[in-house]
Amino acid sequence: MRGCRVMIMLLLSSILLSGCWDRTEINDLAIVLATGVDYKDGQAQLTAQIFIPRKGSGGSESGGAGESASGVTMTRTAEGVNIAEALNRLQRKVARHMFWGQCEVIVISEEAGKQGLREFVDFFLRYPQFREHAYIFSSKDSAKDILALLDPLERSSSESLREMANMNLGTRVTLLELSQSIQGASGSAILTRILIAPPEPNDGPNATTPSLKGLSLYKHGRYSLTVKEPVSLGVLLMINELNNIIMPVTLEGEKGAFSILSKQITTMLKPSIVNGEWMMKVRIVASGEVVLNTTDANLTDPSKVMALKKAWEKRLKEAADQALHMSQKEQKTDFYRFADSFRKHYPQEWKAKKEQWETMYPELQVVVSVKTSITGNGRSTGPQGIPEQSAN
Amino acid sequence: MLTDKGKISVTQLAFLVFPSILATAILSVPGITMHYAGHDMWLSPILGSLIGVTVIGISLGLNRLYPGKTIMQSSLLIAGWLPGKVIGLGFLLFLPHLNGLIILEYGEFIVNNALPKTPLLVIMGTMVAVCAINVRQGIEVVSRTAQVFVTLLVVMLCLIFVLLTGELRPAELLPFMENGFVPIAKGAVAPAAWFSEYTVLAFLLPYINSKKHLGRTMLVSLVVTTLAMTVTNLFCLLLMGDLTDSFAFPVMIAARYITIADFLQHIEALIIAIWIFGIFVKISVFLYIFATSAAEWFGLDDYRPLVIPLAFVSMLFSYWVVTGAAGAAALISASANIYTMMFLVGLPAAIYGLALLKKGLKLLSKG
Repeated sequence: MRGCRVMIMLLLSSILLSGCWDRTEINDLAIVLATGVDYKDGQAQLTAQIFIPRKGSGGSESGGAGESASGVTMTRTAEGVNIAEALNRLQRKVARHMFWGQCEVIVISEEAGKQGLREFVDFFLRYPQFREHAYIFSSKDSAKDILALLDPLERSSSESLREMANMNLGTRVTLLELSQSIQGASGSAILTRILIAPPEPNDGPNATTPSLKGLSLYKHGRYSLTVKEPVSLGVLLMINELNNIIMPVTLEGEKGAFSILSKQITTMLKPSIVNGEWMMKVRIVASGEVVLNTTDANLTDPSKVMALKKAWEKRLKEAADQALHMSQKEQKTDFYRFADSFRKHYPQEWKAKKEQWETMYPELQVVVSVKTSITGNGRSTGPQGIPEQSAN
Repeated sequence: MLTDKGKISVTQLAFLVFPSILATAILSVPGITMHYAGHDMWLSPILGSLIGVTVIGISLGLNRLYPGKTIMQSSLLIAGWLPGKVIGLGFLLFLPHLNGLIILEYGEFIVNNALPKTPLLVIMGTMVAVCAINVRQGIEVVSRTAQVFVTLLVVMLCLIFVLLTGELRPAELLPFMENGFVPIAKGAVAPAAWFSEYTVLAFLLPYINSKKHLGRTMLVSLVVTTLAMTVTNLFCLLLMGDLTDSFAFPVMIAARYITIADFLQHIEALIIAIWIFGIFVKISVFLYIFATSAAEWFGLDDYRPLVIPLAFVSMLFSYWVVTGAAGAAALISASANIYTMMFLVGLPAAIYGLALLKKGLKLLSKG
């Protein structure tokens, strides 16, 4: 009797456990590796870079001569009045379910940035699948063209962008950080700007890498300007993101120059309010190594090292001042988030003056102090390639 | 007389209580406290734990005056038969609300984060069915499952925290006390509502086999819970700053944000899976209390026949507690917290006050 009952239960349960009738298998998914946002003729344009699994999986057998790893991605684009509609229309151009959970890179063109980042940030943080850790870039050309690139070195151009972000070559901004930045007290944001490196003459037009050049600055969540070197170096310095930079430094009274590779550059903001006087102290501590010496000076001489330190300090201070001048006098926009620092350290004073910040900022007194140290002079001591006599 | 013959140890009780508070608290508390207390939100749980101390004191006190009796039974002796039954009825009417809310929170979280196309009924129904089976096995089984699952839950929490340390910005702790002390106190109301769930002790204390180290273990449990809540809040704050209250489930965002060495990422599904163990214990504990209380109120010898029907009632209430599409999130704020505390702090405190008064009068009349 009991066995009979168990049998009936088992048989009945098979009605409920009818398996995966509405399953979505991995070969029903279109895995999006990168998303691009453009704005054209009053319409938002969304581009998805989609992984093509067939080509990606059989890497070894197709690895013949001349065959590169590229060609494993494709792009699809759709327009709409906003990006939500564009995303919806994009699905109609792809025969598989779009899956955005692996999207690690988002490229927003400067044209789209002019419409305001808010719409994009809200959508990407609301739509279920997008990752908060996705890196955000801005692009001069349309984002669509960037995603269409087939990097000869990496599996996809999104992979190369992600690696570049990890190397800290520009500002490394994730979706979450961008949202924090434009919602902060100063409302500004700084993104790395990407260009398309011109392809080698023998390669196809798309067989090239994206390259990082300059920064795009956003004011109140809208694109306001692009800065290039040398100002962009100062901007990176101000937001404590300057890494891996080789700077030429000239010494007074010496022909030629030293080049210094920075090992670590730390920028600290110290706001202070004394007797109602608002002031921002910017303290930069840098250490670096000499990688090139075209002067006749010998770095085993401590006085030369001292002089070099001073010269580098001056160089960094100039860069910072240049960036400050751009921000305070030319753009009158708080790109370096001084407002957030004041809010953190002087909450009461900040609350009282919040409304006047826009007019206060261009006149704010900023003091930059730099301290550097030269930690090494590479594998060589004296200058190389000079006949012995003239070095003395 | 108890409706369940099982006995558990003090440690097992602590293991039962920990997820009963934390499982849903880690989802909602960071957002709510951020909303009220701003950058000082990590202080709110510490303030809220004062309610925990109070409630533990009341539960232990009642158990000392009336050993071996749950609050349902002792209220009959304290207030008299009819008022006692009315108090019991109050608990019986309140518990389905609480159970429904817990189940709904679980369902909404899973629908939002893991299974967007599965009907809510299936998600909540399967969980409640499993919990009902668990509860029918008695307190011993419930607490043994808790022991196993809570260990996993703690490991998971530590895992998120350790993996996230690289992304934290301690500068987010500032501005300290931007708007003074009042916002911290306002923010403390929500954690206090969760700490008031320590009242489950008043229902579960009769089942422990030895009272050795009871008070001490419960205080340690409170400290651990407070610590876990504070650390959760702190991590959300240091990771997301002002954005913390703009997300429905900040801890989930934190888990999704983990990216280490390009391969240790997308681990949120694993974290949801382990979190389900925690919510399983929580629903089981409250369903157990609901069933035993009902059995005691009706004067039954065994609570088991009531489990399935009451599980069904809890399921129904999970649909009834919220009207409209606002979801559980809307209910967890402000008014619902006061409502919860009224039953889980106010009522037990009144009973205990009455008991103390009676004892005092007895001493006076003797002396």
